[in-house]
Amino acid sequence: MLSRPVKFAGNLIGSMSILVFAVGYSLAQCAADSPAAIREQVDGVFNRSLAAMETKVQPGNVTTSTWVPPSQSEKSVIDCLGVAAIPFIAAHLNSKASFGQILAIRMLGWVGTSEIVPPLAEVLNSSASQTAKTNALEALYNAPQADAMQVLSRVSRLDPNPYVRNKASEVLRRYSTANAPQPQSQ
Amino acid sequence: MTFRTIAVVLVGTLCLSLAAAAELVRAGSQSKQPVAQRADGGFWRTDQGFKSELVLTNVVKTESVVVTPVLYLALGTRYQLAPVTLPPLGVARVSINDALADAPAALRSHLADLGSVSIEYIGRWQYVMASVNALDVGRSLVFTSRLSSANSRFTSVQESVRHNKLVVNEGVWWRHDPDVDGFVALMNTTASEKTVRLAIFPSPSSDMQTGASGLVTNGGHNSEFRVAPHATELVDLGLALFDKSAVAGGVTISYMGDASDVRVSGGLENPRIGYSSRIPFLARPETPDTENFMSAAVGLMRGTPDPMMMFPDGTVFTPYGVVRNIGLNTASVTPAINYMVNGQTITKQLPPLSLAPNEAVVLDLNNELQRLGLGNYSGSINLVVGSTAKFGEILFTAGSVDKTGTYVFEVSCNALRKSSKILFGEWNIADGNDTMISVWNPTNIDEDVVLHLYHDADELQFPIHLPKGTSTMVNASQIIMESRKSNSGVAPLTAQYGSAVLSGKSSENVMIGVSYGIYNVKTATCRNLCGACNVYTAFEINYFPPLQVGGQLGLTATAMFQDGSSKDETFSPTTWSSSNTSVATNSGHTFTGVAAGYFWATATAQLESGNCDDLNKYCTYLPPQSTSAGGVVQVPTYFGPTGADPLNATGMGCATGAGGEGFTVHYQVLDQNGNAMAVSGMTPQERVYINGVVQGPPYWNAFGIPRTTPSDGKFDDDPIGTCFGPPNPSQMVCNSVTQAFQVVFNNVTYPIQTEVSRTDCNTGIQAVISGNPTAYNKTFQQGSY
Repeated sequence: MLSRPVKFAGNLIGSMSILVFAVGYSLAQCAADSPAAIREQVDGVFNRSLAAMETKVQPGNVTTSTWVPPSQSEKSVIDCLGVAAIPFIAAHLNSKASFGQILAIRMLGWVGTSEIVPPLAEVLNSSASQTAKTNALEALYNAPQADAMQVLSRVSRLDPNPYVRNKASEVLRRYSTANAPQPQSQ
Repeated sequence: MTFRTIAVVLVGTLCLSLAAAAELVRAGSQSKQPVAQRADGGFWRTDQGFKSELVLTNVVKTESVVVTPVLYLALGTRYQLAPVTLPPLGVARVSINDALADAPAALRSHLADLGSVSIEYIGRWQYVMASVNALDVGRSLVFTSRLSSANSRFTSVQESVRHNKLVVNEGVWWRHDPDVDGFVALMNTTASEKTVRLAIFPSPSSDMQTGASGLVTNGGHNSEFRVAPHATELVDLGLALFDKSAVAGGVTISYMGDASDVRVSGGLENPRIGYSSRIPFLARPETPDTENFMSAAVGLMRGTPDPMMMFPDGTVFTPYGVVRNIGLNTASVTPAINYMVNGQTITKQLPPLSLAPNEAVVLDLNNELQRLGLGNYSGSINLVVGSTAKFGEILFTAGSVDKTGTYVFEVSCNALRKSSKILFGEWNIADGNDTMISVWNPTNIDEDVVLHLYHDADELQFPIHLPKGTSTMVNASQIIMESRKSNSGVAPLTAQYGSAVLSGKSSENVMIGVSYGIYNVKTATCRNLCGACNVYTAFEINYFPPLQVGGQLGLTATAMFQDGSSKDETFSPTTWSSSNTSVATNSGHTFTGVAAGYFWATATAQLESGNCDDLNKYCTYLPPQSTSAGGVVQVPTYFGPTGADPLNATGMGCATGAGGEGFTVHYQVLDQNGNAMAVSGMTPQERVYINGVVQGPPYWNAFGIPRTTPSDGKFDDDPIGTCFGPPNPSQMVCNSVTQAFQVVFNNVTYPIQTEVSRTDCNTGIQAVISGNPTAYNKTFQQGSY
């Protein structure tokens, strides 16, 4: 059996309040009808997700950021906003915060339309982070195959990082597996 | 044992180890390994004017085979001949007279003018049909002796189990004319002397008795022979000693041992007029059959033969039929004839007979045809014999003989059963030979069959449409001649001989009666060839992957056959079952996962088995054959790390100037047994604790890259690690991070036993992965932590 910390028990009431707030927030805010409102929601998702990763640690009260996956409720907000959120998410690709770029990449992957391809292609061109690139490749897989294939193919051949090239090849292979008939499964 | 695994046996193995179970899952796709195969019992003779020839046919269309013929001289001396390579579907002939003439000097003193021949080869099943044709052209005599597998049916020699039991072979003789006599060749195929009792008696005979030796005696001639190892004893039947009024009778050969220890071949002959015919033998079954006897002799010639057959003017054929009751009870026998007049099929019942045990009768077909007003009928008739006795209790043989007795066309009497293919072994149009095939559709629906004539890689297909109830006869020479005239675009056969197969139009099962023979008008000889069934050699459930709870798989089963072909036996009438419906249920061949665990999937099908040696009843479907394969229903239980790639702060995505190290960890989803789950659509979720504080709510979040697994069931956790700063602290600073997991699959959440305990520092990282099967508990570390 796993021994799990149980400190969260005391925060149950507070946590439930936050959960209710988050769900209500996302449902209410999805009806955003102006660029400013959309930006506000995108920024909200981005900032809350990064904030969830932050802690202070001693000595020195150092700010740390541990990668924690964004929650389903935050993803739901972006799912709801859809393609309109892309420009505002893309703006965060230049985030200077730890994990900011990776978070923005994942948010683009949630949208998964053709419009995510150019900004992700730019990340693959310019990012110094291996993780950012591999996350971008995965996000690209959510875009329509016809749009993503060219970028994936190029990265699989030309990226200077062999790890990234291999990852791109792996994602490309996934297309053929996914398209192949499944002989026995029904 | 891979094949025909019996479910009862398997129930006890359900608690076998995981590895063993996995092995059994794979076992379904295994095939038989090549083993030593042997067939024996070909009687050859070179006395008087006889020339003996061994004819070998490879019935497999996918593989060549190298066959070594071995002659056993009369006293048992072994004489191994040069190997013969048979291409797929190839035919080869070996002259025994020539082989004897070329015998090494060391063997010369042992040479004899009779003996037996066996063949030896390596194969996964019986690839080769073989027979010996002993032909005396000068006296117009021909005897064919077919070699039989040295073990039961189609199993390998190694698989056979030797018995020491009473073996009884029953035969029937009849007099075509008062001067007919006969012989029986007893061939000992073992390395030990065998005592063989031979009883020859006219019909009716006194009751059979079991003598002191345990062998069978009766009221006729009884002789006992001590047959030396591998020796051949040629016994004169001495029919002349019986009263001329006895027109038929029995031959009983018995010994203690295995069914293949002593091979028997016999013939009836009147050399003065060129009459020769084979004595049919039937081994008494160990257990009585349950099915009433019903057999047909197809294509008996009556009257003037078809001019295409090139018989001399004035040749007139008379059909004959001989029946012997070899059961213990009186049998009622009901013969019927079937013939065609002006395209119409007519069936007439003949008077029923009551046969006492051992009684043999010759059916007076000519007289019956006269009685039916068919005195002048010329054409082909089919003789159908039914009985209250069971298969194995009636001996039935039939044929046609011309009035001079020199042309004798024997006909194989066969049960009317569905069959996908019948392998004839040989066709021949060389040196005045021709090959005749008669087919009858006894059903009330039209049937379509195809006669395939092969010569090495060449094939000529001749389709035959048989309206319900009709019969027809075709000759190989006619078929080949017509194919050469046609402009079908298919290269005609130029060869003079090869192998032949009769099949359903699309290799589907067809119900037809058939007889097949090679005859030669010039030499006045005819060899009846008993078609062999295309018996199944393996029946297996094809490999299938693990099931998941709620998931479905359509299993498939395949039968392999003697000619190298295979057939999908997945669907009806094949039945399917699951040994453990709490783990997996089935509807037909579709299996659905219910809960984690093992199950056996069993398929049961009716498959063609039996062979020509089962006189009167071959190409049977008894009993249904079952095969099983182990299956497993998986549930996701572990995340097995397959590797990790280190990341520095920049690579991990930290802000410029921040410290920290990380990893990309690669995972494979594992099932409850620690086996990979190569399944798409699983969504890994994690709960993260940092310094003991759970992050959230919500507490469970999808974290995998990709978010849901692709078909290989793999995903990455990318990244793991913590960024410190900026600025990067000058001293070592660490976070304690714990990851707990679950996975959502098919809308069901499964707990994952895997746990990751991390120490994330600005100078390094350690990730300890535990809770897994031992091989998957791993620690990844880099830098100082």
